[in-house]
Amino acid sequence: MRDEFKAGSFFLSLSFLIIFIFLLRESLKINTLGIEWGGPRFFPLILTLLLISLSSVLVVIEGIKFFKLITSNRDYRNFSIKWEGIISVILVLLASIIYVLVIKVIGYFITTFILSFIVSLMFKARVIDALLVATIITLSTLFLFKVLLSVPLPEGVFGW
Amino acid sequence: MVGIDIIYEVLSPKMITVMIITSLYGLFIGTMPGLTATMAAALLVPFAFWLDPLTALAMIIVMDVLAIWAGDVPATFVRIPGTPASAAYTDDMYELTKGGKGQIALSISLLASTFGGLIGVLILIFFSPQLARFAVNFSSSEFFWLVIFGLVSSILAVRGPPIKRVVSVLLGLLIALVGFDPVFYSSRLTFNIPELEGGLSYIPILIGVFGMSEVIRRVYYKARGITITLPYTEFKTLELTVTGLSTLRKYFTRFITGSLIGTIIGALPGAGADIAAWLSYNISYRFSKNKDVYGKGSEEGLVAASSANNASLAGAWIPSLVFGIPGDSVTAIVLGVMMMKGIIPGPKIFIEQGRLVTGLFIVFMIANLLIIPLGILTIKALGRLFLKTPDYILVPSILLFCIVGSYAVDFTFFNVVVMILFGIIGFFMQRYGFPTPPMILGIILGKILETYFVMTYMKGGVIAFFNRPLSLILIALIIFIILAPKLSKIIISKRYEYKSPVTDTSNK
Repeated sequence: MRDEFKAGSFFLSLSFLIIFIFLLRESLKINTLGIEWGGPRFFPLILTLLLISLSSVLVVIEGIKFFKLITSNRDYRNFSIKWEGIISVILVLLASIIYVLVIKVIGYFITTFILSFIVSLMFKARVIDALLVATIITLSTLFLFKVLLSVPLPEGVFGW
Repeated sequence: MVGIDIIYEVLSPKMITVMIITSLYGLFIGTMPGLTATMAAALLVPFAFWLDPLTALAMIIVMDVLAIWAGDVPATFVRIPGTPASAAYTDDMYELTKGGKGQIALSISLLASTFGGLIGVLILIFFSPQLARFAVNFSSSEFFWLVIFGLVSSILAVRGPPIKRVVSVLLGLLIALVGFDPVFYSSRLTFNIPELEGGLSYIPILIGVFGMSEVIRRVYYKARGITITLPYTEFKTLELTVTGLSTLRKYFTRFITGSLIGTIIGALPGAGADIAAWLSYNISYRFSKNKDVYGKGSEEGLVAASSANNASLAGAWIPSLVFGIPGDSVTAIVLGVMMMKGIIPGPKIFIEQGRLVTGLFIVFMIANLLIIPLGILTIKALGRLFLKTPDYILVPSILLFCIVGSYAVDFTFFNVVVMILFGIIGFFMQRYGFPTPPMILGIILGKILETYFVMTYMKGGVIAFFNRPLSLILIALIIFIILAPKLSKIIISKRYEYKSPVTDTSNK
């Protein structure tokens, strides 16, 4: 895509660096059990230190690229965030997380039906088609996993 | 005549019925993301109580062989590896589908799997004792170097800035360390979350990185008015078979090396089809003349990896039969079934249970041959189903399979959260040039690497990593695989320098 968010690589590298610093802090908390070389802390510590060094280099490299892009190319499309795409992604992720949170209470059938219905609508299905798709998907996965494979799917207060 | 007798027994209506039912079961398990061949084998154990030893073992063999191939089906059409053994070449399969060659890709993997599997069986029949002796010579130090070899070749086998590739593999290794450490059982990087104590299962991670990230990608582009469509081309059965065979012939060297690597890796205790596929794919990339196509629909890489994963299944039986040491997780269950039936594995099994062993070899042959008819039917039926289904049906279905597939690993929704998280990570990594395959291999091999490192170090300090001939061979192999392209360039340029004066003279 020509109009991608060009600063993404820089921000991803920066996010990695912050996460790895946080993980280094966690690694230092690991009990060594008196063994420094080959002990429980050895591998996490070495790996986080290596990752911090590499992502620092990446931040610098991507930062320079980003800076050059800002100074040489003033096309706003390179830096504008594509909100319409991001909002849809957030919506799907949010729906999935809510699904996980409520499935134990409401049960597999209703939550799965609602989730399939929402995602189907996001892909421009007509309401009647989305209802049909959600019903078929819910019933077929219920049959497949619960009946055929004996996977204990959550039943919730309604019992299905 | 024991030989003829056992052929009749294997081809008896009862055995054929059991083999067909379990092959369909294997196909089903393989095409369902999140369900593994190991889990499917465990579910077959109760049936083994009621069956004679040969039928009980045949049931597991047929299911395993079919499931490993069928794992390629969702990898091809929805970019979710059905089993971890298909993860190495999922991107290639999916890219071929995007180019309208999804069914062709599956027919290539089908034939490579069948013939790779058959080579594995032939090695199992003729070289079991020799290979088993070689495999048990592997100490922790050799395993350590073998894992390093796998990780190094995974970095070399992907495109992108080298620094991002290294970050990807190290990130995978770090993720693998979450939970109790494998030697001292000390809790690490768990942030006091009880679910993390046992570590992260790599199946939800695989589903997240490949499947969920695809859902996110489709949603993202759809909202921006871009629809990702996969072209559907109708292929005749003969066309699929001929194309598959000619591709196999074209990459015959890759096919043979893939099958051999698969069998050897399978014979190593603890290393299964997934590691065999990764290693074969990476080695194939390193020596390929068409490196640019890898990860973008390489038929060469596909042949190398899919022949390796099915060949490894027979390889895994070598240490199991000869020493009673499981080659992979499925053969661990097989050993349990054998014990249950009063069969003691060991070198004497070939004499004391000669009839059973011959029967198993024949079953293995039939199982691999069964892939062809059942596979062709699957390709034609599911190809039409997946590629002609509109997004508003396909995407919610993929999302649900991602969710239920992750949940089915141990029936906790924590794995679903892990899957979603890795879907997001995978989406951003792929978008901004961080290759995900090295991370996946790092996650698979992380704990193994640490275990063998600690075991070797405890045995004799740093020197223990370098004082065995087999370790030195593996170190030399690692150096060779890193330097191979540079060495070949130097050799070619030397040849050119040597020849150029002659050319110049003739020109004059």
